[in-house]
Amino acid sequence: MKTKETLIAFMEQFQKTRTTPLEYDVEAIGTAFSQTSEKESLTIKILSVFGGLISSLAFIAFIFTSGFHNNEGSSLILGLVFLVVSLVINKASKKIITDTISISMYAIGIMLLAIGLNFIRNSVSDSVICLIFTVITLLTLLIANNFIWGFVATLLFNVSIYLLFLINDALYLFDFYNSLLVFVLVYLFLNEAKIIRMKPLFFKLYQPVRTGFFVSYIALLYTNKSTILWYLGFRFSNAYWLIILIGIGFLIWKIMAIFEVDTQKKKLLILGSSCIALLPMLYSNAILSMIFLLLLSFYVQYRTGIVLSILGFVYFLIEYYYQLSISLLHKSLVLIASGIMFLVLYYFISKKWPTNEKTQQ
Amino acid sequence: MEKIDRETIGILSQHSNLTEAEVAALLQANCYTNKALWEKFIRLFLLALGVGFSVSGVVFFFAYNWDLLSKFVKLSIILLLLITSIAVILVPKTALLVKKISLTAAAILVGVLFAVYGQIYQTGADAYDFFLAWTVFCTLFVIVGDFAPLWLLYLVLSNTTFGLYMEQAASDWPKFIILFVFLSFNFSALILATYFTKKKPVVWFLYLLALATTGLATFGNAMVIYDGYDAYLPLFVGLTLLVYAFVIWQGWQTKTSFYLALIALSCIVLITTFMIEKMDTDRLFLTLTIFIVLSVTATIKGLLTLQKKWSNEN
Repeated sequence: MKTKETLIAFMEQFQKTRTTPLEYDVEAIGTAFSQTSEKESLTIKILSVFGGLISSLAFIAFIFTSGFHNNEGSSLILGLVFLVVSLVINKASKKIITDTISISMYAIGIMLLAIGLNFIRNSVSDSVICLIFTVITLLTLLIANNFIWGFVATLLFNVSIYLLFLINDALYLFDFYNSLLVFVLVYLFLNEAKIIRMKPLFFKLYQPVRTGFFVSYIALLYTNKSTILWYLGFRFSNAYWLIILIGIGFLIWKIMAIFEVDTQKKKLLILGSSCIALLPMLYSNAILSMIFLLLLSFYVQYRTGIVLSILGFVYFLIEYYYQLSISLLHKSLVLIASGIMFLVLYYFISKKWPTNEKTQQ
Repeated sequence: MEKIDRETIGILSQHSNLTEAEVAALLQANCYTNKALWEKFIRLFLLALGVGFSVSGVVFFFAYNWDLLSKFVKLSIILLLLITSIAVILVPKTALLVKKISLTAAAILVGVLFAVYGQIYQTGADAYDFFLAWTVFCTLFVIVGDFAPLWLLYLVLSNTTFGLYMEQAASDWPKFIILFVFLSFNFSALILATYFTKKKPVVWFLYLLALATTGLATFGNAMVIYDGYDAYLPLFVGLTLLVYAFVIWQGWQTKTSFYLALIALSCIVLITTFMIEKMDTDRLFLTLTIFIVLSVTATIKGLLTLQKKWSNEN
């Protein structure tokens, strides 16, 4: 469905399914369509982000080789100038081709600001500087008007929070934050209809913020590969696996609704057997988290998410092999137990859906 | 009713009095996974996790080298598993997907068998002949299975064998000859895969192969820039041009910007390498910043123009 006319035809047909009249603003829909005619593919999004980040790194190398970083006052001012100019470019031009330059200037601005803020370091702590960046990224989200900006701002927001924990040696908060992200992701993914209807800004930010949180979550798991065996002390980490299991359980519950599983007994049986199959995998929270992300992405057909979670899954499985805290024998038995349980589940499923088997070949 | 996409639903929800429940229902019906697709997914998911976890468990198990098990028991377990996974494909009623995944498991078990054999008789686990044996003896499974993940495993194995051979047995070969062989092998794989999947392309596999081939070509040419002239250099550069031409042609044929972006990125990396090598530090980084921003912007502009042209043609 590409044009305004076919859309209006669709609305007229949709009207027939309603009892109350359907009202819609033809003019506004037409304008919105003309603005989205320049469609970005994933390749172009990646190119923009890549170009922006690499060029800003080159610029920072320039700042350091030229000795400009010693002049903190100028760095601060120049950083602010870059931030403002990048925002102006972003606001003034709706064209995708200005993305690389504006995102590059934005990243340079942020980095110059970080150098410049050293200058007030004697009076405020590093934590305050991190908080300043959290505020800047949040403000950026309010101003941002396209995918790349929303995505980069969400990513930087999470990085600032993460750094805040890191400089305060509050490592136990990482798992707490990861758990929080589980909730944020479930909320964002499963309430799409609600969020995009709330405000025009939310509609605009929905895709980039979702992708931003998704990527941040994987990145945080990468830097914080916790297994429950590593934390036998009283830490929140002990509960992270429970959170992720609840997350997966909740998704299975939603999937059961699609299949119209009716009796409580069946529901409990499905949930129970899935939990038993996943239980051995508690040794690697990261693998479990990737399964959670895969189900979540598949639920809403979020392709980028599906690809990222499969890649993450393979990566964390290989990483699990090299985890030295558990012996290989132990790890292998855990994997085999889980694997056999999944095969048993597969066996039951193929007994239950025998007819479709042939049609799918 | 005709299907509508996410973006359209979003625009509609903004400019009409559709209720939240209606927007949710539209998303569910047009964009989200339906029952039939979930059924397919759950099947594949359970099977892939089941076989994947079990086989990795077996790999981990034998990597542990448990001395409580005798040689005989170790080899028997693996052979038994190997025979079972091959027997699965001989059962006529088995679903095609189960057969293919089972063959993939068998191909991995062949490696485990050789590795354990090597463990027992001290033939060395990193030796190229171990990987050569693995590659050779799973060839049949790969051809019979004709399954993209299995082909991927095969390519990884062949490249590893060749890499180790170069390191352990042919370390005196000229550098560009080694690169040339690597590149031509993967390039041939790309051409063959493109040709044989013409009717039903396995997109992710082709993307991965194109990425690997272009990556190799870029890496090799970056070395050309750093190391300077070599007698075998024209051969390698010539092959690179062929790779570029093929990938661009592929992008043009399939109207996919990914392939074209790959070549553009490769050129940007090479020019950047050239600048790093030739320029002095004073001017280098500022020039680089400007160059990268401009070249990436130009690439995006080019791709957008092409996309527009392609979508008009459809």
